[in-house]
This record gives sequence, structure tokens and C-alpha cells, in this order.
Amino acid sequence: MLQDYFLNQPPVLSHAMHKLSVKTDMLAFYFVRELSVEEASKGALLGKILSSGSAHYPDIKRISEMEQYLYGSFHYFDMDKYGDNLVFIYKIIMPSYKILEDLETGRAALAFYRSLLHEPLVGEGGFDDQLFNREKKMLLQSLETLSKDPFGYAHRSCVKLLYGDHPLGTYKYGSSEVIEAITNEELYRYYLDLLDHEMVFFYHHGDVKEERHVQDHFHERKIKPFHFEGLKSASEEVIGSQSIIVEAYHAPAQGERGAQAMLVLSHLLGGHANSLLFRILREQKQYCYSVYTKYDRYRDLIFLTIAFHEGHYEDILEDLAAILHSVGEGDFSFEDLEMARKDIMGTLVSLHDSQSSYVEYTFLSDYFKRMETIGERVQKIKDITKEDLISAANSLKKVAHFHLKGGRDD
Amino acid sequence: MIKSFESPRLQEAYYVETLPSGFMIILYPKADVYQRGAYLSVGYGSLCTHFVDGDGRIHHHPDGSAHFLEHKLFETSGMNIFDQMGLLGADVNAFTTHDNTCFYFNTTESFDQCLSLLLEIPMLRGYTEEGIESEKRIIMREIEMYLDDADYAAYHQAVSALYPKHPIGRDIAGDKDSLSLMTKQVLDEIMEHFYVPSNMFLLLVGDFKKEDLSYYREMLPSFYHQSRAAAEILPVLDETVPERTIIETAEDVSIPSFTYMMKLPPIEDDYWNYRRFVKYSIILDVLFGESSDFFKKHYDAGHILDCDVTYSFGKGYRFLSMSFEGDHPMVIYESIKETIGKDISTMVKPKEMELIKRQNLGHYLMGFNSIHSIAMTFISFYYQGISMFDYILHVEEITIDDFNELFNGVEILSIVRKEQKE
Repeated sequence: MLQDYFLNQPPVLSHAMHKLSVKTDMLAFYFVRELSVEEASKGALLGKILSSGSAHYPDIKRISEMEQYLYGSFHYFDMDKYGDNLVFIYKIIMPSYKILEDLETGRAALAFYRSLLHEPLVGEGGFDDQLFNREKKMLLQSLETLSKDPFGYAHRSCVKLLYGDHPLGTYKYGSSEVIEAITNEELYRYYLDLLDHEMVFFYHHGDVKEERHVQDHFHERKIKPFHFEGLKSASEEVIGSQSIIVEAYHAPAQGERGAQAMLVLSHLLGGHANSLLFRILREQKQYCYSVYTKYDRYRDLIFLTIAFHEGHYEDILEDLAAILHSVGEGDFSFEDLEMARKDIMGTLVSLHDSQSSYVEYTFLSDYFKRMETIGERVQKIKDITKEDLISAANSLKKVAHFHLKGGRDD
Repeated sequence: MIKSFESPRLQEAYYVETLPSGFMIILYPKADVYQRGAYLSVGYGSLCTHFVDGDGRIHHHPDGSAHFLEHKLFETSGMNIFDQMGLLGADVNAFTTHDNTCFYFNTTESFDQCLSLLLEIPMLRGYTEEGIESEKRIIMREIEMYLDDADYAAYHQAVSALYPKHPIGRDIAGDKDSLSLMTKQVLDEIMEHFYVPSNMFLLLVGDFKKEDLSYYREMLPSFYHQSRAAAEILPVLDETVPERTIIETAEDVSIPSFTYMMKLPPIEDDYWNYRRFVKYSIILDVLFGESSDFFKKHYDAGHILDCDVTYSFGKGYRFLSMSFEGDHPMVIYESIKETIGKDISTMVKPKEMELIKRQNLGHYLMGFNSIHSIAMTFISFYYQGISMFDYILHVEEITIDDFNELFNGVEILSIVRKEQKE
């Protein structure tokens, strides 16, 4: 496998996955780090720098020309977080050079992508100064533009409201203040440390021979608990037609079955286009176009998001409380339960068909040592009963309410 | 008779059978996948608002009619089709584009049952006056959501200024005024004149065998065997030249969003239209893509964060648009004008052409990874009048000599600026 070519240290896990139907090869590297705003900020900036220039390809133009030559292959560096861990991700997607009958270009692609990681554009004591300063400025601007997406902004504001400065509230790209303060030397040290990091997972998906290696020192991590106290509320005005509410509900899962029940509950409430909230708030009451829930297993939370016309604010809150109460009373049909289960089961099975989703799913299973097959997970969802859902619904506690007030009349 | 379309180079194939009614079934086998997908496409989209029926009567429907009907067609008196399919485990959805409306599902189980339900959609008219009134409020929320997006607002402002008389200038969902005109009669007329077998096709993608095509043909309800002609869509021409070249609005944005757009004379012939599309795709990439001098200059200077360039065409319209985020819209505007004002044939080097052709080939190949992307590509190419396997042949035939007089049109710059708060 390719891990020795790309990594200084043997990864804790390397896994080559064969899939005949795809026309691409994906290489994915997950560098697992501790979750903190400093780590997130440095990782975000490092990704920008490695993507925008290297010793042999000193700017985006050269990198882009090379990727054109490689038949439009592409790469990205990204950050993500799972529970109390942060992950620096390097993903490479290449068209099948076998189908293109050009294996020589395939070899050039590997050398190129290795060089982006290992041969950055350096200057004295760090990265090239011009590159560093420009990418820092661009990253800060990109973070500013994030506020243009009202849904993302409302969600981040709700998380911030809930966690304050606790690491679990860290945004995956850190914060503008911390990024502003990062020096070139600091970032370079972070980069060298990352390359020598031991906690790396590597996946190769595509037309490749199936192979899997796990190192001995692979160990399980514990998610640090956060104590939720009372309900935190905030609101903010925005110039826009729609208002948005994001609410966070503490969803403490009792064991593995409890976690699966929470997932089904979240789906039953707002996880799909037949869900209770969708049917009642959108189809019956016409309060909104967009309403959905998302279960965050790693933080024991269910997030609920609704975009609506400000005039319906009070009605929505009233209806929401009534719907959650009625689910706790068992006032939902077998069809509601079955649609939620089926939707999750269908999504799980179809993971096999998506290169990117399957690789991410496998990484999370490996990292959290959930060694079950997708078939076994499907069975667990199938086993969730109405009683499991009632119990899950009764354990929900609203812990944050963020209200982005729109109201412009177009 | 079944027609085969094969691409040995891509190692892909699909099969088409056209019934005497004009209805087509396309079977696209894709081995080693878990999901199967069925896509029922109707040749009626947001641009089809003016048409003449078989009796010679002319109809003018409100903007957003196609999208409105798409929303309403799942409605039935009992459990709606959407819920029935969900209960069977299918992931169901629908979308409306400028030229078609498509209802589809993907599933890993109960495929035949779901397909039976999907095939019922054009035969049902379960929508009610009451349901139509409710839907108006839901769609109005949808339109508001789009308009709160500054990037979309900049784009929409530009296209509506260039095409005030053509439906391309309006949102696919319509607007407050057009929604108010939506009635059961409007929906009935669309069903009557466009939801007819000769104006529809069914695309099946997944782990099928070629022989399955006859099985699915046998499964079709008698509706699909009826020979009925679709109404004729009337062409709309809009030669408006906006009074102002630069239009601005203020929003609650941290960094301005802006769109440069150039309106070009429409081309009616599908083949030549498509050739132009390929040509513009290449030249716009050369001039404004990430490997261009333009991008390098303005990215390095911190003028832009990224650049989204597209070429759009269809019946009665053709334009190119470039969307940006950044603090210097006027600098970019002047730079665009300077770039396209030069002699393009001297600017495009053979090496650049070859690189972009290689990139196109790779991206095209990548589009065959999933059943959904295959379906989307097929449907989009179908309405552009070309076979999906021919795309790369068009790309390979393009030469440098072909890049003359491409940028001769009516331009506009639309900016959504940061609102100055007191």
C-alpha cells in the first residue's frame, strides 16, 4: 500500500478497499489531534498554505495546471471534529488511470500529491513569508464570508451560546482572533509535528486490492463530558426575509441501543421529508420551508433548525413543545417510526455506493472501535421499538435556543 | 426495438426502447452498486410558460408553474405517494429545471413497488384548491430563503436585468405575484398538455441487466402506451438592453458578492448550441480558471476568494456569468473587460488547450461514479439534444481556431454590497 510513500510514521491503521463500480481512486489521510481552538486554527491555516504553493509548484496556478495534466484530479486539506477530537484531513481524488490507459500519469499523480504534503514552499524559519501572509489573509476573509450563510451562522451561534469557551464548542476552522495571532514559525513547528504524528489513519478506495493493517498501539479515546446547566437563550437581528431558530437538546444516550434510539428519534422528528416536524410545521401549518434535526452522537445533542417568517415565532415555539411532548407520550404512528427507521437503513446501505461517505464512515468506525458491519448496524436500527423512542424523547432537555430575527418584507 | 449506446473507452453502456406512443425507457446497468434509481422526466420546465395547444389556443402560464406542479403532484387524497415510497424505504425527491421536471427515487429494497408508485404520478391529479393555497405559502418561504443568499441575489439581479421579458430572468419558483396566479386550472392544463407519454421518459440506473428492459416495459400502466402529442412551446425572444451597466443593492453581508454577466444572441440549433457550450467551457477555464493569469493576479492581490464561471444556454437565451466574492468589484470588472477585449486566438496556447482537454476527460469520467450523477448527466444532456457518450468527442474536436468573436454581447455587473449601518 501507499502509506509508506506518503507518511513518515506507519499509520495506526491502513485500509485498502476494493470497489469496481467507481471510476476514481481516493486516498484519505486522517491526522487525529486534540480538540482546541489553537489546533483548529493552525490546521485550517496549514491546509490553505499546503494547497496554495509548494517547493515545486509555488502557486495555485502551477498546482492547478498540474492537476489539469493529471486529468482533473483534485485534492483538499480540511478540518473536522468528532467528539473531543479534531481531525486534519488530506484527501486526493484521481480518475482511474487504468481506464484512461495512462499509468505513467498515475505515478506522476502520486509523486505530485506526496510533494504537496512533504515539500512545502519554505522560507527562513518557516513557510515562504509571502505565501503565509497571503493565505492567512484569505482564510480570515473566508471566515468572514461564512456569516453570509444564515443557517451556518445560526448553528455556530447556538453552539457558541451553549459551550462558551469550552473546547467542545470549538469551530472546526478555529477563530479569527487565534488565526490572526499565529506566527509563521509556530505554524511551521505545528506542520513538522503533524508529519511525525503517530495517530494517522490511511484509506485507499477504488480499483485496489483489499488489504487492512492495524498497529498495536491503536487505542480507544474517551469523550470528555460537558455538564449542561439550564437553558441558554439569545437572539440577534439580521437583515433578511426569514428568521431562523436553532435549538440544542441534550440527548443522553443509554448505551449503544440508546444512541441508536436517539438517531431514530431525531429522524422521526426532522430527519427526512416525511418527518413529524416537516409534516406539521411545513405541510400543515405552512410556517416554514426548511425544518430539520440532526443528531450529534459525539456531543449527546440533537440540533433542531427552522427557517420561518418572524410572525410565526410564538406559534412555532408552542407547536414545537406540543410535538415533543406528544412524542414522549407515544403519540406517533407505526408508519412514522417505520419511515424513520427505513430512511436510516437505506442511508446506511447506500454508503457502499459513495466513495467519500464510505471512507468517512469506515474511519469513524475504526476510530471509535465500532467493529460492526453495516448490515449489523442496519439490524440495530431495525430493532429499535416505539418504547425505545418514547424513553429517548422523555430524556430530551432543551439546553440552548438561538433566534436569528429576520423580518424584511420583500 | 432496443437501441444500444456503448462507450468502450469509459466501459459504460445503456439501452433505450421507444414505445409507439413516443415514451422512452432507458436502462443503464451499473454493476457493483447497492442502490437502484428510477427517474421519471417530463419535458416541461420553468421556461415553458407560453405555449399553443393542439386546438391552436395560446396559453400564458404564471412563472413558477412547473415548480409549483412538481410540489403538488405527490398530493393524493389518502397517504401521499411520497410517504408511501418512504415507507418502502425509498429516498424520494423531485426537481424542476429550466427545461424539465423530474420525479425520482433511489432505493436498496422494494424497487418494483416504488417504481409502480412513481409511474402513477403523471396519472394522478390529487391536488386540491385548498392544497394549492397552502403550497403558495410554503413556496414563498422557499423563495425568501434563496433571496437571503447574497451570492444568489447578485446573480438573480443580473439575469433579471438582462432578461426582463424572458422566463430565464425569473426564479424557477416564480415570485409573490406569479404565485398568487396559480390555480387548479393552470395545473390541469399543464397535465393535459405536457404530462403525456411522448413528452416523458423513464431512466433506470443500477444493478440491472439489459434483459430487464422488457420486464419494465411490461410493467408500464396503459397510460404510457397512449399516443398523445405535447403542446408546442412558443419561443420568447428578449433583446432588452438594460439602461444601466452596473446595478447595486445593499445587504447585511460582510464581503460583497458580485456577478458579471454577458448576454449573447441565442442559437436555436441543438448541435451548434452544444458545440458553443464546449467551446465556452474551455475558453472560460483558460481565461478565468484557477490556472489562468487573471485568477493568479487577483487571488495574489487579495481581490477575490474564488471565481465561479458558467455558460448557460437554452431556447431564446444564452449568457455567460462570473460570480465572485471580494472587496474590489470594480477592479475585477475592468480586468474582465480587458481580458475578453484581447484577441483570444493569440491568448490561448496549444499547451493550455491540451491541459484543459485532459481535465475535461478526467472530470467526465468521474461523473460515472454514482447512479445519481449518471442520471443527472443523462437528463441534462438529453434536453440539450446530445448523447451523453458524445460529450468527450465534442471536446476533442475543438481547435484553437474556433475561439473567435466569443465575447460580443450586452454586459452587466450586479453587486450586493455591505449595508452601511447608522
